[in-house]
Amino acid sequence: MFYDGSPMSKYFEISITVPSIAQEAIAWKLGELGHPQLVLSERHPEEAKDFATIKVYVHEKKDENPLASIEGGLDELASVLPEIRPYRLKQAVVEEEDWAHSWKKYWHPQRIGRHVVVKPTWETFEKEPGDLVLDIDPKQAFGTGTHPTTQLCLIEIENLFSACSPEKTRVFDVGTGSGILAIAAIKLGAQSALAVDTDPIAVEATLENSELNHVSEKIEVLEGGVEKLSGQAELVVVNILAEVIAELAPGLAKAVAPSGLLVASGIILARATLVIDAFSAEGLTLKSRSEMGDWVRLTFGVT
Amino acid sequence: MAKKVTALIKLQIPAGKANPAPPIGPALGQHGVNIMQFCKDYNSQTSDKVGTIIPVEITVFEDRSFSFKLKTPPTSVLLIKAANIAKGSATPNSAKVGSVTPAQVSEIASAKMVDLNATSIEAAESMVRGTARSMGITIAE
Repeated sequence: MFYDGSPMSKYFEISITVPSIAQEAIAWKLGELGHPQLVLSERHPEEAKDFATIKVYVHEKKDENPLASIEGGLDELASVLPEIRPYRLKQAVVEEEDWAHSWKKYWHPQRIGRHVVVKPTWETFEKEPGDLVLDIDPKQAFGTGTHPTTQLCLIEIENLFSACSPEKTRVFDVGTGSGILAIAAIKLGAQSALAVDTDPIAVEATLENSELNHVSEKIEVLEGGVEKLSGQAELVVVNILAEVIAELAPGLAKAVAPSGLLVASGIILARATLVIDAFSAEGLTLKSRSEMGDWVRLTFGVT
Repeated sequence: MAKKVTALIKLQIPAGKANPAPPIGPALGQHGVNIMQFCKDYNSQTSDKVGTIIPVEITVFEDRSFSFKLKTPPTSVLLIKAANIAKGSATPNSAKVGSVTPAQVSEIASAKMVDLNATSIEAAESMVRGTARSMGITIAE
């Protein structure tokens, strides 16, 4: 049922916390009781897996007291499968809302660095002089501008381009995600960009976001990794993970033009040495670093 | 891309028919996940299996981006298929509706092992046996 704007109706949210061993049996029983669609579990990655909380949503018009019928069903089940005990039942009321759009309340324009503003497509934003607005439609792919690793890169690109002539700069963006860094580089004045990602979802997102920002004619997007980089670029940006960057270091180092720079991000502070050592072994020198929370951005030069 | 996971959400939903109504809306909306994008992607990956339930695990990252993995069908569906019956028993204590062999239990347990977060094949088998018992399906030893 889609929200149609009519006065709010309600759903009963029944949460059943059970030993994980009984999760599948309960899922079956709930299906028998007319509730085949479920949240089977929802947890933080570090939470224990011994118990699972199953959630059922029942529209008020379908059943005025779903808790009673579910409790009855669970009691029946317990007589065959005592392992479902101890279970805990909880009922809450959830107001119907426009779920197709309400998730957007978490997304707002965000200023990163001096002039870069990342804006979800549906928001409006009053630009200040010199502002550069990136329209990003959050889809699946990583790189929505809210993460410190992306922010560190955006700030560095802006700094580097304010100190040189970006119109002569070719950019390689390795592990492009949503394409945000390549798009920012072009909007900040870079000549052209090649964005690569091994994830086809990221490739699709980058193509769409490039169109959205009217820079698609300057960005080439390819599915793959460093092997897709042809020639060299004055600026190589790589926002992945320390271990992956270190592994890719030989290929990445070769892609940097003689006077060029490589900006590496996605690196947890404790792993900075791993990346520095990997690029040192390829003849690159650490030029600068910047930290945000637990993350560090490292910029390397060829000389 | 440095991805820190903030939530793992497992849903049991109908193939090809995901929409923003519950359970998907409230489960994903609270994490700021683009629900329509998820529905579109899930439906396109499951459109050839309409009429079945395909569980899915959604991983939500720190920046509200997400990925998802389709899971094996529910244990009950695999048991019904293995026992070659139409459905489970409404009164499993008294009415047994079918049986499966220990080999079939092992096969289902192996297929479901990862999804069940089981620590051993024995633990997974025990979960499958429990589900069978709940459905009035006996194990023909």
